[in-house]
Amino acid sequence: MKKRLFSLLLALLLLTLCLPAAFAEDAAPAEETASVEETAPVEESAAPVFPYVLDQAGLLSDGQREALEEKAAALSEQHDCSLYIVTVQDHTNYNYDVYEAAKGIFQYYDLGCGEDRDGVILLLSMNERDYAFAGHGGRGETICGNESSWLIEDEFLDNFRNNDWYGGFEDFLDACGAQLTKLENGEDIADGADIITGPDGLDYHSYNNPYETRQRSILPRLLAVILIPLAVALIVCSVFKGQMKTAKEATRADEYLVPHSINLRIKEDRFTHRTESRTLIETDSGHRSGGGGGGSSFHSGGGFSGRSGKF
Amino acid sequence: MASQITNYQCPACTGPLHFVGASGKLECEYCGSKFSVQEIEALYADKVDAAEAAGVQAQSAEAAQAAEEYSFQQGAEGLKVYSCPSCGAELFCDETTAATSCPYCGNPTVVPGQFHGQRKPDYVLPFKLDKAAAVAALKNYYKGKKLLPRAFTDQNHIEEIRGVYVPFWLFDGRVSADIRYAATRVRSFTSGKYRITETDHYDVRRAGTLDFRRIPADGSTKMPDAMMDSIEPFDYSDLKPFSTAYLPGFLADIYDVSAKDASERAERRACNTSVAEMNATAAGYASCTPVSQTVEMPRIKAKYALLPVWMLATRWNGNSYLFAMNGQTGKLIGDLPVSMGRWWAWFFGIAGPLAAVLAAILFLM
Repeated sequence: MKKRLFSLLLALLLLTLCLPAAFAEDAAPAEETASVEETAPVEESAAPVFPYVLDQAGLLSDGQREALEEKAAALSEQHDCSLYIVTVQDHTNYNYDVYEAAKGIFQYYDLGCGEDRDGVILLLSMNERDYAFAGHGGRGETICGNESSWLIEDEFLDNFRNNDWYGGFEDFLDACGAQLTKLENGEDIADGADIITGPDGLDYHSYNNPYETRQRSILPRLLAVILIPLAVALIVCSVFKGQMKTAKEATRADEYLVPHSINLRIKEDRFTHRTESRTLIETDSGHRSGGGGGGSSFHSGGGFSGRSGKF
Repeated sequence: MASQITNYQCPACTGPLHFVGASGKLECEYCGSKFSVQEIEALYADKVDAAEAAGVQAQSAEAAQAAEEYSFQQGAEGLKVYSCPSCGAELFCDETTAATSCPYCGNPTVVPGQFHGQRKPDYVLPFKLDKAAAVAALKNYYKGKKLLPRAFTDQNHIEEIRGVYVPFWLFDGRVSADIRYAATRVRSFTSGKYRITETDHYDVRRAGTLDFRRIPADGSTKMPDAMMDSIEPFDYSDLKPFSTAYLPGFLADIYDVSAKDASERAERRACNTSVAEMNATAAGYASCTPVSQTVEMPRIKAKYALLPVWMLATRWNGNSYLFAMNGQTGKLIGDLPVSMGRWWAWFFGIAGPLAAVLAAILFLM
């Protein structure tokens, strides 16, 4: 246990030093990052043993991190698909796109297991509350595909939105484990995902599907059908009622102002100071998004599939 | 104290004369003769001169009768009692009554003594619209009132209709305003992945004067202020120097609210308008919030005028309803009863079909 702890701490230390440096090129797309790695055999050989849980943002207590590490290791071994959790303060140190950052970490450290390097990595970036998870290899890519990724995302997003980091990571691991079990048993991994094809021909999950949301949101429409007519009727009847009471004490004397009599003696407009505020512009990077705030995007290609968004 | 009642009588037949707004003349109901205000004023001025010549010192009962001046006695509870010059009946009037008509013989009478000294109005705005126009305006007023009980139009009858010269104070003055604002201008642009909003803050000051002319405020406690305000505006270009010759056929009161007391209302209105005008000069900002202001009307001058108002009273379901019409422009106002049955009928009549249409759009399409 002591040995394992030591190797873990060493790995953490190395990662802390190496991760930002490795991705310091920043805006470089994933493909470029990969090519850099390919021509850097020294780094490949120096790549440390990557822990299953790497909490650079300091969201977890030691106890929580150890518990998650154990759970991830057990599930990874059980399903032959490594499950990783990485938290960072700012993903832009690695890649401007959080999903690409997650992919880049996975590729750079040659994560995953088996011939296909099966694995799933979940990356949380705290500065702008971004998340991404990407699956690689036959198993990882399948459970992070369009049909199944919603189910995994559904499990952890609510926790993260409530700053329940440990619960969210635990749910992520459980959800991945459940989907991997389904996959091994030949069950439908999309079961419960409620996939619907939208008018644009793309598949949507009930959680973020704008079309399905429109179809299912009976309550808002019902409220609109009841409340809007009541409001309109109330306004019209109030206008009618207002016509019945016409005597009002005057508050202005506009009609008695002598035309052109305004003599403006002082007209000063003195600049005092300037204030500035900055707001990060939301970008969807060309991906489909389920709406502002909590919307997420599905990604596929380059041997990976997964989702990213904000929590 | 005033002590005379004057009956303007037709020089041709001695019938009572009424001022008619449409013609702007005093007309005799009996023989149809018409006289201009100037003619009647001149005629009565001669009579006064003749009476003076007869001897002011010994104003005997005959002399007083000749001058159509009748004694009065101070009545109880602020009432004055006059004797009608035509039929001799006793007329009980308010202290403020300056023109009325005899309830027995219907003769219009004027109490010129009420207008002595400072109580003499500077102007009078003669009636232009007659009683028939007021009745027509009231009937027209009912039209288009969706919540008016049907029975109100069918069953209610005009109990009383009176043409009243209401005492008004007309205030002239200059408002001095000094207002400071905290204002902002906002500029937004994108820089990299950020939207940057720059807000420039300004200390804005506007100071100056604004002139107001003839802001009206009624000087009668009998008249509801809201009603008198609501029938504005009057066209002051028709104002005439005061003469009692415009009063026959109408009621008239003298003021019982002093100019000083009434000036508060006028000043408040003028100051509100001044603030709005000053605010309008501080345009071009995204936001402009007053942080301090000094607005006052230090010097205010008042003129006293009688303005024409038709007062119409109706009664329905045990309640009284009072309406006022501008005797010059015909603008009529007054509160009407609301039928709650009709209110709900309209409410559901609008909400029901609208809900059906919305449901069809939202659920079926």
